[in-house]
Amino acid sequence: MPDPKDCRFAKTHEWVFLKDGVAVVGVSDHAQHEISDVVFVDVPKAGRKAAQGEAVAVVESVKAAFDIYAPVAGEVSEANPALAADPAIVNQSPMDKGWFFKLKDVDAAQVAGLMSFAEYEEFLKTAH
Amino acid sequence: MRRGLLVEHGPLDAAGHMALDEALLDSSPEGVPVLRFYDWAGAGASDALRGVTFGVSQGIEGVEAAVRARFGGVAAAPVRRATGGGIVFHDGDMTFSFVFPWPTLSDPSLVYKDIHLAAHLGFKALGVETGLWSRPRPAGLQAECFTGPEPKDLVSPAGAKVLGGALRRRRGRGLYQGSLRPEALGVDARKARRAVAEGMALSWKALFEPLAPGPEALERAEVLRRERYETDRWNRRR
Repeated sequence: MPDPKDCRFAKTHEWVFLKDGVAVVGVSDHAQHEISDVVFVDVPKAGRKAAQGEAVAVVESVKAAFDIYAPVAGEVSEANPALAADPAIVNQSPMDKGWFFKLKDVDAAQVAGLMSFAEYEEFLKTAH
Repeated sequence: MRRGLLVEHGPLDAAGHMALDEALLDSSPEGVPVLRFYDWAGAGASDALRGVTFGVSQGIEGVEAAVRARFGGVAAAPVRRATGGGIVFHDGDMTFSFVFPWPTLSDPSLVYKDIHLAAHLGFKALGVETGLWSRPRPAGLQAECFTGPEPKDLVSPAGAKVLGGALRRRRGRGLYQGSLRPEALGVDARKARRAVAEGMALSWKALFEPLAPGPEALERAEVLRRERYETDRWNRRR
């Protein structure tokens, strides 16, 4: 499980954990709490290229669907297969088992340009 | 008073309505609420089936089975919405959409409640009593929207579901697609439209100005209709 302090965060509430050139992406604990009970997650297929900020996934809680964005540009190398069978893991484990997809060919500078955990926490205070 | 838009368009089929709603979600002016009442293509008798729409995550096989069970296999091809929720049979419902600012990620059940509270206020202003369903959600998801009321649905004094809807949030905006059964309140569709328009104006403190969709929205809607809502790739994707 990545420590939130080792992750970077987008204003659209996705987190990124960069390791060995691969960016693991999920939604923050704050996001899963607001979205509430997740009943479905549509993740992108491996091979899809995404621009930074492009809507690439959809999360549905009861009666509401939310766009999820690529926090950095890259190519999807893997999607979390566990989400199809058990979408509720997004609520139970947003920073670990509930990850959405992995991106390769990412620009480390783009990742560094996202918010740190401390900055994200501050952002949540001011954005509400 | 803020400015709102009451978008007017001629009759469309289900794919056309879904496409225009998504185009309005993507292109409406920042911070301006947009209300649109559907006119259905091919609407003859008021209770004729004009279309079937279903939630973005629903499986097509279950949807088709529900259509067959209800209409014996004779029905319009179901169209997948961009919003969540269950199957809606558009057979005499008063259908509408609402695009609104949703700048901060927040609990969708509260957004849903606010929209239905607006409709409640609108009906109240016209002397029609309604309420919001407050009992707990039944276990599991309801495959069909009007199987029974769920929390925050608008209901008649007798507890019949009057208005249900579904939401999509994208880039700080929300899209609500609603289906209202006027007969559950003993009113006609025209009065139901008045109530919803009045309620939205009251709740949003907005003056809704009638307007045809702009060329950008129409062009986007045409692309979405052709490349998404009329295709098996979208409607049969799961």
